[in-house]
Amino acid sequence: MAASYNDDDDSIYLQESDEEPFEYDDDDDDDDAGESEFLRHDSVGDCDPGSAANPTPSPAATGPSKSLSAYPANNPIDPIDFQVDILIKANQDTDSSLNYIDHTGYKSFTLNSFIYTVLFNAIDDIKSILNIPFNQALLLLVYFNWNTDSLLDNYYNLDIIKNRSFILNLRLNFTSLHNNKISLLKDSKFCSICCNYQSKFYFLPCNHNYFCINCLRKYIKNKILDNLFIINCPELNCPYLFKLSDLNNLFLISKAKKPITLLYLQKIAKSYIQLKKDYSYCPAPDCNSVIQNINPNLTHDHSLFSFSSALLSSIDSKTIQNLNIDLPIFTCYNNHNYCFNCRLESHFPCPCYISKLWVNKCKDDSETANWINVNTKECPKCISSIEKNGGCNHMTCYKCFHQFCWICLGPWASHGSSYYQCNRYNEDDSKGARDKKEISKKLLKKYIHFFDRFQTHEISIKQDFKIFKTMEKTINNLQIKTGNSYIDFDFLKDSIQILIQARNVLKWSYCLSYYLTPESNGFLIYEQNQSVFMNSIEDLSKLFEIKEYKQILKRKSNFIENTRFVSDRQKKLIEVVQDGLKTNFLSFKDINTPSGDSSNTKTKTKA
Amino acid sequence: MKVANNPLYSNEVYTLRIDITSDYPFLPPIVRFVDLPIPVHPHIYSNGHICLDILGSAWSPIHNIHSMAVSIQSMLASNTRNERPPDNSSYVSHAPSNPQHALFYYHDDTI
Repeated sequence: MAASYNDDDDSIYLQESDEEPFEYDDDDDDDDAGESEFLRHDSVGDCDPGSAANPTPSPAATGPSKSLSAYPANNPIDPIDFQVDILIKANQDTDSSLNYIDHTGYKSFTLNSFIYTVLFNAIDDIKSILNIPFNQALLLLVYFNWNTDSLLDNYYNLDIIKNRSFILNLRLNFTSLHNNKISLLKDSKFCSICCNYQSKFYFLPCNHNYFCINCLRKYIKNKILDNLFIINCPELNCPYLFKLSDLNNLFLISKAKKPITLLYLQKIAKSYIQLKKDYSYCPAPDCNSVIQNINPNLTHDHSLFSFSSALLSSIDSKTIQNLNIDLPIFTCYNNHNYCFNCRLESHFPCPCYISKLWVNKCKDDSETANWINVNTKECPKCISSIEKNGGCNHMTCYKCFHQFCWICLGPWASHGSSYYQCNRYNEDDSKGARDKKEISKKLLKKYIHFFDRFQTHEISIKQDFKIFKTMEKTINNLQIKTGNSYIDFDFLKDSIQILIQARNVLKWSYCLSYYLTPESNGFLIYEQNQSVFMNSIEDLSKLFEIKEYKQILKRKSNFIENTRFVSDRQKKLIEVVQDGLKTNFLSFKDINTPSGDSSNTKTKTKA
Repeated sequence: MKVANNPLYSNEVYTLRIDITSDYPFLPPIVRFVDLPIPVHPHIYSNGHICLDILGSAWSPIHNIHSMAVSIQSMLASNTRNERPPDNSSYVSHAPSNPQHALFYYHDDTI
């Protein structure tokens, strides 16, 4: 049901609503005179931001409406500045929140700075190209999913009916100057949403003035929370669209902690981020950071993981895109490292594909793996885990319908009609089954082996992170005790950061070990490197156990040496993996086929 | 609900089940036909779900139960086709219990 509104019907706003006898608050008569009327201007150009803010209520207005006037009388503001004002006001407590960090290859924003820079720039462009007000440009961009090209194509070329009605409606919406505000009525009036008599109403330019402000607030909030950013007047088929300034006026005295305008813009920003491929939202919980990837090749220059440019340029074929380890690991504004491709944490030296496999596997298995190992046997044919919870020993696998004997794991056919023949030791039959079981057991053992190490280092990282967090305090204490300057202890901070990063690399290297083919020289070299790397980390970690402050100063050179050694080894390990993958010294064993221990389907007995 | 002036539905009484959520009137009520017979209409599925835009995206808080019921009534009264929606069987077999969770396409506005 499209809005029954067409472009010839310009007069829609000019009609006096006969059925709505309306009472104004007469106290501030002279200021309100032109306010609730919807004045029409002939051209769009008339409506540029400067004049849009013109009809101004004077501060003389009585009662609450005094504080509600959106535009101060003496200094009319450009709406865009006005909106930025709101944002800045909303963020007074966090001064830095409007900054962003410019890394090489990518930028990291806070969500608010993202709105302030990227979003507003996009709106500003449209605003100046089409010479339309800020709010109109915003709504247009939202309508066209931030696709500037299609917006400009369609703005004057009104062939597509769907777009046509929207654009014409929008133009009409903005051909009028108006200044809406909350008004207090002398007598309470019937609100047609909540069906109560209320006294606070918001005057809409479309003359649908029978919604109380509480209902309008709820209505708008519901729309915003549903990610609907083009909000019509609640009246049926009314083409009036709520603008940012409307929202601001409406929620000016609401008690909500987060201003609705900010929520509105943040929601819009999030939808923008989802639409654009070169932006991504930090996956860490409660982190409002946005990253813009400037380099389309997804290569980057991270201080720690910088590779030679020759290496980077040699990787171009898409086949190894999945398995190469030139990862776009970015650091967000709040210092979370994550991979732009797969949105996992930093997972050097694992390629994205492998680390995803690993993460899924861990999700599936880690908690249940032990239990499965103890309590189940694998079906000898499809190696899915089976728990026997009763019944006889004639098993039928629910997955592959293979019939076998629970005791000897041999096929049931040989047991024949005579019950339980597996007391007789049949070399051939049971051997094959046992071998298969052996294999899957080995696989599971291997997985648990690497998972243990993976987890141990994850825990170590958390512990090291605690040290890192209290580092400032520790250094201050050391300063007081030894009388040395802050710079003398700076090495501690560097060391702990390198240590944490190195542990992360080591952690993910175990995931890599699990998936690599073990029988190759490349793997031996890799393993050797890994073990040296691990030892170097442990050596450095040991140094942090020193509590005696004199010792710390004495061992300063050890700290620095070990730190350097760790980062050298880390670089070497990554190079080995990188070279190995490229030259096929290292290869992955059939990562696509599901291995036995990955399926934890429980199959019941069937006698 | 009775439908006047339409021979398709004469002498039939239909029952609507209306669930009003806590967000009413800002979100639409959940409305469906219950009990047999369920009226035969190109926008009403045989499980009672109604494909009507004001029960979904076109809902506005100024609608109320009365106006909603009138809409459904007029939808029935103006119908001339004695048929179910074209995708009836596939929809009914997979339909969510809450019709609002279904993704309706309001494909034709003619009825």
